Amino acid sequence: MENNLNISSAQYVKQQETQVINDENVYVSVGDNFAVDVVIDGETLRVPLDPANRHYAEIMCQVEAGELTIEEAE
Amino acid sequence: MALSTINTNSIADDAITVPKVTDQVLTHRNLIINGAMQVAQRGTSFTDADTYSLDRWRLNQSSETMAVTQQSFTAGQTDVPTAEKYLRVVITTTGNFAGITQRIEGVEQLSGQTVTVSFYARGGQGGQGVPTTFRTYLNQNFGSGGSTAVTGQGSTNHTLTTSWQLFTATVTLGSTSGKTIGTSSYTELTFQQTTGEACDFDIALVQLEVGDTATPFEHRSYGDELARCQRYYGKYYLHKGNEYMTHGSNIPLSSNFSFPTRMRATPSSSHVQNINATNCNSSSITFVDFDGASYEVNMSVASGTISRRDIYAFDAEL
Repeated sequence: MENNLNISSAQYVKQQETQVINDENVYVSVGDNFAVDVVIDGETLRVPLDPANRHYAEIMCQVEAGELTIEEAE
Repeated sequence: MALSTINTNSIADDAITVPKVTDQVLTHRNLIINGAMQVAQRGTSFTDADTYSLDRWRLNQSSETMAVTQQSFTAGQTDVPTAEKYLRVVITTTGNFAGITQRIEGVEQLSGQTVTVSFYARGGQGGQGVPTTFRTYLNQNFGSGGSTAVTGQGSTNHTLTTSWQLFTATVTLGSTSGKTIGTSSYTELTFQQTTGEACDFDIALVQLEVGDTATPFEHRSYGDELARCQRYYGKYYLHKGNEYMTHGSNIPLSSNFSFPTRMRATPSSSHVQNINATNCNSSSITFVDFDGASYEVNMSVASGTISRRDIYAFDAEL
């Protein structure tokens, strides 16, 4: 898509829910990935997994080119 | 005209011609969004690190240092009739090419069509001099998975001076017959200086329309233009509270938000600014599609009145 975005980090995001662990409310990731959190030119973006989204299209281009790795969700 | 005064059931040939009526009654002629440079959701000053500037206007450069700003005309000026704003591009280092573009969604609507671009421009008002070369051209990009882009169509040189002038260029675009059209295709209008020199230029009232004749600029209200821009980018205040909650700390509280217009694609979201926060230590966008988003705040106390307000940006540009 020739956007040539400067992406410095990328990590999948899952939905989160609150669970009680050791009597404390704790966020826990559940379900499938629904977005990628990226830093582009110093700005943090939450990018949906939509091929029509220009950021996601560029992310996948850079992944396919071996220039970017998307970290698994926490 | 009263119906009783109409006593003919036919109109002579050529009594009504396109030039007589086009600029009077035909709306939606201008395919450019924000051609009057009035909508500026991202701000009014940009550098070459930015991709987009005023709404819908994309920076286009190789290695130059450039700045783009929204400028205001002096009230009552007549050099560019009816215009209130213009866009200024200042290029301060040499390189290869630099300018601005607008990507018009899709390629089918202009397949094989003759189109005319019209705009006002001048140079040398930003301290860097008039561009030696300045041109317009159109690209057809067939999107992800589509055919190879056809670029540089109808490249036309325009001689800028330090005074405002109206320029036009007529181009017949290629047909999409035989092409594979992928995801997010677009037709792109480009304004560009090509000699890599330090220079500056101003642009106002940009119009691209079907046909071989430039008609007067189609003015639209700010509200109409903003709504068109919001298909591609929107910046909104999101709010949760004021409510008394007893759910306990570290509990997410969600609210749904609908965009004022359906966006082109599922947008990327980014946090722009926190306005206020009471007993809420963070916020996030936990769901988004082209119609809206879920805004979630995190309650930071076991019980109490919570409130939080943030500005988020949503980007579905091409």
